[in-house]
Amino acid sequence: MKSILIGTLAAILAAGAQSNEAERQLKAAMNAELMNGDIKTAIKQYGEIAAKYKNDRAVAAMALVRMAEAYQKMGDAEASQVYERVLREFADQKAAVMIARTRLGGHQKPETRVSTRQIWTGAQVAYYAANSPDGRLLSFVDQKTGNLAVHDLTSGVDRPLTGKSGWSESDEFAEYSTFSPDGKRVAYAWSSKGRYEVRVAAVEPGGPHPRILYANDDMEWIAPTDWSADGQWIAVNLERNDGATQIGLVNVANGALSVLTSVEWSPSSKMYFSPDSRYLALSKPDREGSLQRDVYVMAIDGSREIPAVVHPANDLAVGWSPDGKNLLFSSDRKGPTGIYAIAFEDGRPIGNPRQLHSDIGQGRTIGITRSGTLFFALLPGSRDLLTATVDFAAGRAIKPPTPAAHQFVGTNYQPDWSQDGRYLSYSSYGQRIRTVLKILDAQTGDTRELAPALRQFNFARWSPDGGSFVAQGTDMKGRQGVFWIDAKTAEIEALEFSTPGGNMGIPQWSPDGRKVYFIRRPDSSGNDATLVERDLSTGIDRELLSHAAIYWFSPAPDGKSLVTDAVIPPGKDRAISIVSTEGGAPRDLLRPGAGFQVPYWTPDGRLILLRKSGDLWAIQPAGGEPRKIDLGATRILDFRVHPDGRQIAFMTRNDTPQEVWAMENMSLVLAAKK
Amino acid sequence: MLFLVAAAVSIPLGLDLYLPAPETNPLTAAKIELGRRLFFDRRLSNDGSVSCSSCHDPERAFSDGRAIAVGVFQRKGRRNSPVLINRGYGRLFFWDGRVSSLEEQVLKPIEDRNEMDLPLAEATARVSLAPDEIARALASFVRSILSGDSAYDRHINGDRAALTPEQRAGLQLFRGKANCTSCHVGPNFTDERLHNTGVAWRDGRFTDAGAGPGNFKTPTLREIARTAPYMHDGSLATLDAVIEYYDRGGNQNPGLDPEIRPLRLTVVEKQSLIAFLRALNGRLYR
Repeated sequence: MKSILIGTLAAILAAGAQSNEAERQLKAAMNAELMNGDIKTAIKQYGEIAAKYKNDRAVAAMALVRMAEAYQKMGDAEASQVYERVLREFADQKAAVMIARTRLGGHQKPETRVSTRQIWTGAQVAYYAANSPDGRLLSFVDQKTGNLAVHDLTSGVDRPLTGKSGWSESDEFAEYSTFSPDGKRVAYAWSSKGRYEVRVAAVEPGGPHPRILYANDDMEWIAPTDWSADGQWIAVNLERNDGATQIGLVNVANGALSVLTSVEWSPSSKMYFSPDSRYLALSKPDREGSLQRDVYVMAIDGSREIPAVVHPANDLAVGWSPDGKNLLFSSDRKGPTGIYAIAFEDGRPIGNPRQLHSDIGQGRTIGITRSGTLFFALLPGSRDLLTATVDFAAGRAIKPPTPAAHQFVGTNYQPDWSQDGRYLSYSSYGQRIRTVLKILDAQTGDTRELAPALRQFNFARWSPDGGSFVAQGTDMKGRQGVFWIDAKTAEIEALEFSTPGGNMGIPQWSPDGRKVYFIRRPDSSGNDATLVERDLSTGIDRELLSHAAIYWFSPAPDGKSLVTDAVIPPGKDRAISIVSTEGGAPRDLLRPGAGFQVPYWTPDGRLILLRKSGDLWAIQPAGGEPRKIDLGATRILDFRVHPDGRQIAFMTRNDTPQEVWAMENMSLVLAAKK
Repeated sequence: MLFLVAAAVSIPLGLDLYLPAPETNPLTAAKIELGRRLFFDRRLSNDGSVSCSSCHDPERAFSDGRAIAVGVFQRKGRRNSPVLINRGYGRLFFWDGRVSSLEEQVLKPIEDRNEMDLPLAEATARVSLAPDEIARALASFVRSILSGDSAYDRHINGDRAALTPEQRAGLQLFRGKANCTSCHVGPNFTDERLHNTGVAWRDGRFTDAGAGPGNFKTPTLREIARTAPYMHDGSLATLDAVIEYYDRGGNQNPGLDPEIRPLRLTVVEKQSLIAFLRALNGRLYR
């Protein structure tokens, strides 16, 4: 609609406007509105033009149309009055009348639906993105350098705000950022020599160098997420060195931190100040360890916390309407992620939420401009968890891949089937909160969550009796190791912590559940790794491989051997090999350098599956030529076969560029629904 | 030093600005004052001999210095009087965590036979307040008992001279080798969870089951140097004894928390750790 309007405006000016000065002034007002986002100034200028050039009816009519458009952006009901004035006083100005009629519709009311449009696309554009209050700029982290940069939506130009030349210069990098209310500065997290700081940079070129606003050696991580409209506070999520996670306010004037509240969850989702700077909207887990969130509002003086949206669905704070009368949130209560508003008055929510948009896709919201445009990012370039039915003998899928998870799509990974085939587990990190384990019951279709007290974990594998998992992970104190996880209670126990500087890899159960295999790496090089067999009843370790670079392995279902992807001296070339658990020299299954990776022994023991160039391949354990399995999907990352030998769960990677979208007319819709 | 006012109380440096209170009992100065009077009111005990403050003495950082609490008629309780510092931020109350709100907690000692032994109806008659009014007022007063602005708080807020070198070494140990932050974490130095640290295990059995085999709630370490003796049974008289206990890995028992294991601290390290714990004495606001 906007392009139609601008085109019509151009035609009017070309055909009817007699005064170059009128045209210049109209363009200046449009520049204030569209380029600078200064809508109030633009309205004033449109009004002055309409008055000054009242005899140049084409100019006056179009100034009024633009004025009404600007009011509409602000959600101001004055828009209808101005459109009606155009109809009443400028009936001879056909183009302006057409626009006014369209806007008012048959009932002579303004358009009452939000609209969305894509405004930017590119790799990684959405991560850590923030919008300027006028909606002209988006800040983002340039993954090629670590710099904080801004993308100008009007010119399409990217520009760094920090001065790194690249990763070769240092390993410093920016993360979350937020614009000042006047749009002239950006506060951002900066990781420097392992320490996080909040820094402030000027947006316009030639401004002062970035300065450190807040730094503290006691801080493990900090993320500025919003700058209050009064300019005084920056809301931050933070994590202390002792593992405590907190929500705080940094005083812009003196850099002092006030901790608003300490929380037991990872506060990694965004928070939003109300326009009057009195409240902070945030998203809290609906129960301990859950990925599902509810929306709460905290008074920034710490006097109270208000439950604003408490619902079984995943509800996330998105921001506030520009007039502060509505709290906005996203929710998957109807399936897809929609945008909702709930009235907020006198420090509490009023009435029921209203749906503004039924489905904004899978992604995350970025922020709201002062005129009420919501920016959100779609993240198609992520991971999807799929299942398919495969005829391994024929080498193809007989039932095409279908999504295995319907919530937090794009963040689910590393599937595993329980030995009885009833449960499919997978890891999920939702909105980049703590990792949880999801367990899908194939009989009931229900999915439950398991939230072990680990910051993150990988490769959670079912025990043969279905009572527990082993996983590689990092506990809440930052200790990396191999952990046992109770499948019912999520209770954890460390089987072994890695040594300082080292790490542990991909634990796997022996088929009888009496042993656990894992990789012990004493240093980050990984070239001196050991493949360990731990007898769980005695605690005694046996080394099956040592002084090797071990990338992957999988035990045979008979427990007599493992297939490995490793560089095993004295061969010195990376190869897929069979290693006997009873000892003896490894046997190469595939010639070194053939490019096959991540070998996995199928539950019936007949095949070893492998990945090569993102495709799935199979080979018999005795050897022979590998055969490609056509799954009907590419870029396969991790796969596990169901005990029935037919179903396969796997994840794929999708590198489709990320997209940033704008949702407009929100203020008008909210005003119309009153 | 940072003071910010939240509702009716001043929040000292190091504590969260948001001091939770139920919607049914917002914090007000009037209720805090009423709660303060009730806290010291001996009429709330059967024989008029004790008040809440008898076991939670403000001069002892709201503890009583005894191993085991003593109530009316000199009756001995079962456990050590827990300190009442920063309980407004708590989620579990009593050593066994059996109660989840301060409003519920504050009435229990009044009724408990070994503590104040007064039926609530009688308490109501004596102070002319309904039980829920007593509960709300006492809970409000307890919420106002805050300790912060310690040398540790000043240190982590950027004053690097606030801790001595020995205390800084102790802080490193606290978070590292001594593994204290497994349980004593956050601004209040408690995870508000239940753990079996082995203290209740003696001679092959639990002397007190707590919340289930030998589990007790992690207490705050704020004002720790002023609140001896320690543990749920007051069995460790000094901080040195506490450090020695954990250094040897606690009392081995079937449910011992896996984080409790021999620490192998040196003499100097133990001294540093205690020096750090003393840095948790701060300003007590009430």
